[in-house]
Amino acid sequence: METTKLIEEYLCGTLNEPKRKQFEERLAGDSELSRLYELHKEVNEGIRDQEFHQFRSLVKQVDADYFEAQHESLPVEHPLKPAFRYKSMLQYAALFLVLVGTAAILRFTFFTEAKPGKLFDQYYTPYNTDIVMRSTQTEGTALENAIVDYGRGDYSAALQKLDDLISENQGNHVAWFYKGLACLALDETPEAIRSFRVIEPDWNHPLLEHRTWYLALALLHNSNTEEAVAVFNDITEHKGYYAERAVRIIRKLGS
Amino acid sequence: MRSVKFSDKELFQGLIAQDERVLKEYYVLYFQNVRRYVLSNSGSEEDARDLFQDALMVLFQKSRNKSFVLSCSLGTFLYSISRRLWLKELTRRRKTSYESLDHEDFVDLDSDIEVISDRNERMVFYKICFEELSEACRKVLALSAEGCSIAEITVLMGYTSEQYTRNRRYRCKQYLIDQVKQKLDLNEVSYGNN
Repeated sequence: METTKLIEEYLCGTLNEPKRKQFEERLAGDSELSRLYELHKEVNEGIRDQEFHQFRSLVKQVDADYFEAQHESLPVEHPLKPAFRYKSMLQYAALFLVLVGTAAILRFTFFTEAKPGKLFDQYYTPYNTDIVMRSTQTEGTALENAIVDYGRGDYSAALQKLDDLISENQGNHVAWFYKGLACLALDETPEAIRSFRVIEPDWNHPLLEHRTWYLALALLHNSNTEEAVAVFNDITEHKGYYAERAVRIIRKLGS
Repeated sequence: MRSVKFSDKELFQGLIAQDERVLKEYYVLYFQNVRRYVLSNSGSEEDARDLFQDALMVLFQKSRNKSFVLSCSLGTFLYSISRRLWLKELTRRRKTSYESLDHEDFVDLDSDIEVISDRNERMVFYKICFEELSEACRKVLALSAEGCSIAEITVLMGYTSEQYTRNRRYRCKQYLIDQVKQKLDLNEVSYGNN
């Protein structure tokens, strides 16, 4: 892991001058290290390049749409395999009919439109802060302490700290986000909705998509179904982490 | 084949802008030529689809290079990319003889087409490995890749110290690199050629 640390610090530009020069000399003379360095650099680029991945997803979607539309009309040009293609087409068609039939039976026999409250219970889980839980209070910042409390399930304590933070700085959107989460956990749903809504939809922050998801869940829990569906639709359009779950909820709501 | 809806320039700009309507037009205009070429050269329908997607990805990457200038029709260029990539694929599959029914115009391209295609493949692969990490590792590495400082990541993740964040980042990155190396044959792949 020492090599990883060195490479990461070099890539982040946090190595001091002597260490940086030393590393560069090593790179020049060590082909193995050089390859590893290029791998780290390229992996970082792979993580960062959202535009590339978005384009790829779009191409796959357009490809699927095109072939779904073209399926009946594609000419069979390959001279060697017509019998196989016909047989496999029949098999796929039969399988498709069985699946559609089964789905229809299940849908109309067992599944009715789900109630918002039930859907909330099914899909809500506290936000995973993934922090180290300790039995004693930490010496961290007020925000960190509030997040620790939330992570431990001590939502009331978290809420008190978050309210203090917000009263000092109304623009602390991270605090508003966690306040929304704490209120939702304490069943103070209208306050949760209000807290999430303080944060603008164009907040340029990794927590935005989580804010939007929990806002949608809060609206659902508060029986603001139409508004919830609008937000879930927004989530599906962005094709992010929660998109699949949003699609399922919309379907179950019958929207 | 020329589009009645879009000029070459509009098609090219639509690709950069990731316009879905424009991308659909690429399929309408250009896919069948690529398909015919692949089927006539030891390929399958599935191969043709995969190849066309790869060619679009290469064209997309080329378009992001501000110095790139299209010096022929878009259809010819895209066909040429597809042809180049398919020849490379056939070499990889060790097809030593094939019948080439190449009636379409094509241009000779630089070898950077293959370099771009290989790099695209690796980018997709890294993303797949990345998505297999835990949510926390993904968050930490994504924030780090975006340029967030250790201090910022510490606050955003709710960690209790910067040293913890630093170590977490190293562990996550090490794990990701190990996964990539395990799944990727390092003997066949070289990095930093782009």
